[in-house]
Amino acid sequence: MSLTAGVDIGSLTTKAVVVRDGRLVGAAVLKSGVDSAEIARKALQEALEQAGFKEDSLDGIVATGYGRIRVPFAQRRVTEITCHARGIYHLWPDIRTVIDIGGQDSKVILLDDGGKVRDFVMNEKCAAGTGRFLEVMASALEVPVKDMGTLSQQASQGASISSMCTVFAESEVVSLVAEGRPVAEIIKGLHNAIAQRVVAMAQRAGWEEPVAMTGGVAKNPGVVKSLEEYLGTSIRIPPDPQIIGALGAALLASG
Amino acid sequence: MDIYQLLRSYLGSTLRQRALRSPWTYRLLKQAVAAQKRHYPWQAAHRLLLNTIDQAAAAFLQKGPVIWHNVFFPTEVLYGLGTVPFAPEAAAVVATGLGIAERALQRAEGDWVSSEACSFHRLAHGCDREGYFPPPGAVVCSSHLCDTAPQSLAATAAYHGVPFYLLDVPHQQDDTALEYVARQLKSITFSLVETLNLAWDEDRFQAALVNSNAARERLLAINRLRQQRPACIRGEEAHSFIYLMLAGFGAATSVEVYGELLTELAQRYRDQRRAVPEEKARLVWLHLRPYYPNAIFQILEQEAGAVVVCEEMNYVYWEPLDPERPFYSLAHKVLSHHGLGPITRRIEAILAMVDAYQAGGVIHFAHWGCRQSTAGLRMLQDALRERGIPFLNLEGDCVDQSKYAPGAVRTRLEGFLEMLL
Repeated sequence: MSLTAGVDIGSLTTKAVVVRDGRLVGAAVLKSGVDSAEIARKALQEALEQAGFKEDSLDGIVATGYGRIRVPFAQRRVTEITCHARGIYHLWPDIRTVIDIGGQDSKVILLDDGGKVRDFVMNEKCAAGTGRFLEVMASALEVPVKDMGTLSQQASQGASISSMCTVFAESEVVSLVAEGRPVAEIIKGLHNAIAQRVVAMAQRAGWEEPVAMTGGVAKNPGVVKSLEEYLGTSIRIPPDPQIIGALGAALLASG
Repeated sequence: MDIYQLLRSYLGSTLRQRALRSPWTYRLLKQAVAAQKRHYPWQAAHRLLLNTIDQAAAAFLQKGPVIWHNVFFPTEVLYGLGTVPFAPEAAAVVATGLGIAERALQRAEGDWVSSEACSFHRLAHGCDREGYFPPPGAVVCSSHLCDTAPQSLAATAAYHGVPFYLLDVPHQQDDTALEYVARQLKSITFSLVETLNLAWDEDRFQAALVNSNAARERLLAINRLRQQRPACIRGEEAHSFIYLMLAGFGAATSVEVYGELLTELAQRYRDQRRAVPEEKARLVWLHLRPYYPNAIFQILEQEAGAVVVCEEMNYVYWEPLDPERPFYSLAHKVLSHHGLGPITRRIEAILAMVDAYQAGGVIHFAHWGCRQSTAGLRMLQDALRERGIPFLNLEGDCVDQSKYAPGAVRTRLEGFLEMLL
């Protein structure tokens, strides 16, 4: 039996996955905190509890995400780029492009037919177009982030959001609300703005079909729909897109 | 005693104007550096630093007419005239190392210098207006490659009330272009003679070209050595000598430094004294690098064993100069730059570097505001991808530390290394 774990310490959430003989048997998602090591351990413990194992049964642990260097109990550290690729390859070996939109970064990862990373592009020093962007806008619109996807699907067209800076876009949103623009159209406009930014990244990378999406923002059907419209292709979403990085890490821990 | 901390405290104070114009500053500095000779892993680097201090002294103490130039102007002209060349872009690097960049950049912002412009020029502007640079007697600039330099240096010349000479370099490389550039070089040379009341010395002018050729030969030999496996000098170390490419050709001291580096490197190859314990990958590095403290080369070379074996800026792209036909051969040198003209020239040169150095990957450092280097990256990426060569475009800033995000850089480098290894 091979039992391994992956821990993905992101800016907003920390995820842990336990894999037994290549099968996911436990997972946990917690809010990230100041003490990355402590949160990582808590997430791991939760995932292990779900799987019915103790930490000393593990054959290996790989840490990923920005906080990966602050996980003392991991044997290896691998970037989230490689881990997301590995995770998706495990689910769908035919995928050639992974779009990952997380809390504060977004990336486009190209895979070869062996699941190895061929190339990648990441957003540069700006959280516009990421989960944080949506959180700020949700707050400005006074709607829960989890409802943005379904709300946007009520709109037939999206409001034009010209600013990509999160702060200026928020200001635009407030103005649109004051003008009486329907909230659904504003949200659709925000999703379109994210999609345009990510598609530009995908074009820089030289994306290919088929495409999958990972990260917390993949749970937003409105963003997924906007991305599909701008890319002109369908996008596959895993059952739990948020844990794919941790899944990849756990698979890499088994060699 | 940390000489850099001492310098910073000296230069940060209101005494800086006096400090920079005092011969004692340079005497003390040279003594402090000389005392640390045995701590330098490369004696050539030590010699380079001493020479640079001498050059700075000559400029700040106005030991001769100080002529500012951009890094693509052929400095053989300036050394040949017996003037004191001063490269504000290179000086910006020193300002970064001395910790005065932040203040100077704020000054540039306050002077309405666009924050989207190349940071080397923003920083140079700020340093100059803050009184950190020696005043020029004239300013010369070539138009090729760097599009910020002509505007920035023309403004500087106007600020100081000195003549500005632009070498207008066309994109073609034909006989008409050659004639055009050669005529301008001759005109600029003799205009400087007249304007600055210099003594024209043909022997000295030819000697600058002879020096340039000698330095070129030595650099070629160094580059040939570096094509061998395993590497015996890290890219981080080799990068220091890029200064000579940008501001040193024509000077006898550059020949000495390259000569010393060649001797030391050849010995290391004979002794098989490796640059890193285990060489896992060989990389070509395009453009420049951050000059403030950063972990880039530590991550690549020391942690991962991915050695930078070739820097684009150390690439010899021109034929030997003819001292009998100085202006034509210098024009030929200028027009030979692989970054000039169609992007295919640069791509061919980079592919040739990849082959010659047996490199398995290429990293381009996309310095903020440097359009000449970043504009054609998509085509470069496609060409490298066709050859199966992994490519990383690392965005950042060479001199503005506020744009450096350690975690983000580490993720990109490690992601690239995971692709490579």
